[in-house]
Amino acid sequence: MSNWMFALGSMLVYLVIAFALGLLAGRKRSFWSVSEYAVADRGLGFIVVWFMMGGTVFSAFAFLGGPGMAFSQGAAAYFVPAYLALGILPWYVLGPKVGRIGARKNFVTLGEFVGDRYCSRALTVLIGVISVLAFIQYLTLQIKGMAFIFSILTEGVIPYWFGALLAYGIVVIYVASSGVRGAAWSDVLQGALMLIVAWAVGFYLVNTLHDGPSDMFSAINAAQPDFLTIGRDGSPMSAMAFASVIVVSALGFLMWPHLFTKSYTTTEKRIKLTTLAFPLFGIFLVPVLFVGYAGIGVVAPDALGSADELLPYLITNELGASGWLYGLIGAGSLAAAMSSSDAITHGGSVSFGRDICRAVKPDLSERAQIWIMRLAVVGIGAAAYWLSIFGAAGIIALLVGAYGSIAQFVPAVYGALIWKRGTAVGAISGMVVGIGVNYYYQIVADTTPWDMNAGLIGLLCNIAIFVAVSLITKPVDEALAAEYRNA
Amino acid sequence: MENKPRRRSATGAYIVFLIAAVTLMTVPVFTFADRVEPLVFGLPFNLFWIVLVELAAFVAILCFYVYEHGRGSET
Repeated sequence: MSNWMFALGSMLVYLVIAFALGLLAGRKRSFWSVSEYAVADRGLGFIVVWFMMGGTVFSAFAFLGGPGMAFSQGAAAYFVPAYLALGILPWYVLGPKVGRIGARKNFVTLGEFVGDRYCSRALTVLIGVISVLAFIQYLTLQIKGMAFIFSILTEGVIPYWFGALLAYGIVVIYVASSGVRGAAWSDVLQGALMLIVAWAVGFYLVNTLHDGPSDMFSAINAAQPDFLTIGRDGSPMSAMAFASVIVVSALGFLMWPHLFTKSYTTTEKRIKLTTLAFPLFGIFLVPVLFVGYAGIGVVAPDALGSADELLPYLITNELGASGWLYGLIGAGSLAAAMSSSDAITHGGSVSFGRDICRAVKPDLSERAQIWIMRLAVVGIGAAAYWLSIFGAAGIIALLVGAYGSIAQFVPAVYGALIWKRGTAVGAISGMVVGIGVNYYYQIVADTTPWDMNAGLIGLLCNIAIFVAVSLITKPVDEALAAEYRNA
Repeated sequence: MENKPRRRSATGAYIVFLIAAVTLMTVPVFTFADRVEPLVFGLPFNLFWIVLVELAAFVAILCFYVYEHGRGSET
């Protein structure tokens, strides 16, 4: 049996199991309840929440982007384990507060939370639109990852378009039918699988291509001094760029609506115990970076179309690897991409249904909302699939801009919890300015002042405008503001 | 002991811990740990430093949790 058959076989086995698990998760649950579809009636168990958060955060980036970054940018990749842990840590404080307010007021999205506090439906819709656009971009990245893995490991037997359709089609079906529970339960399988595979592959490569990690890092350091440091002359990343990207992540990561809304799915203690696991998740990612470092000096940089192709390239060209390894890597990387896609697709459908449709037309029946959300899964899925296979240069910049704009929700969300003077006009103007500035530095300008992260520049402008405009506009009802601050 | 509060909260201390974690992994503290030699457990010193901070963060959150909720059963 040749390698690609092993790869195809194990990927198919994995897909069948993930599909079955996702579908079974929604059994005997109310099909018509928005609360069940969106937040599992606020009752997910600890292990499921743990894997759901981990699996969601640990995306195709972990298998393709992370190693690529380590390979091409050395120490810059250290930001990956750092931001992953720091990005979730604020959840310990934020999550229980949001969960309590959400349970009392029956929220299922971030837009509803912010819109209610500032008494502004416009704010809810603005957040909904940005979220859906950002989700489509995020999904496009995942779908490209799945398609790439399928096509390269089966040596092109499964074409690019079909691999993506197969893997992502399964996600769409189990999310549409089982809602957040489908996504959560399949993440348990996917999370466990990809952690095992990531470690196995990282250590296998380090020990096959080099004599263990010490030997590998010493060799890199001898060949390219400063490549493994931050902020020196020969370093791949300045100290400011490194610090600011981590700060933006630490503040803004939870503003991704699919992560934020997980606050509504479970209890305070489970939120805190899940946060506890994230520093360990950060450490789990270190062997994934080993894959990238192992390629240095082995693979010529110009042998790759892009650094993201490093892992598949190493497997197919340098190792003459066994079929089992092909299969494991295929299944593991599909798992990583799918466990993020399901949460993102689900989050997009809920944002679309509640933050856009219901905010525009508040008298929608629950049954109508459910239909809108389940159909939105298919709609958002189809849009992302189409974009990732065929692309569309015109709107790519728009989507990338939205993707980078998620952190701009920070002042409105944290402001709701700590500052009674925040107003809707302040929040909207801050957000619009922040998004504009971020967009300018991310897409239009070539460099940023002091090499600071574009998102952080946007965020600083956003906070300044939010505070200034809020102070000159009429505050919201004192009791409402107090309810949020004291939650 | 005689006047045990219903629920202990350490939100303020947790925020201080968050800020500390960010400074340990970025500027200014990381700057001092930002070197390749000596390798520790095969890792460059700066990468080992990040792993160490994450382990410390894990222990810190565990302490916060035990302080706030005791060792009672999960749920």
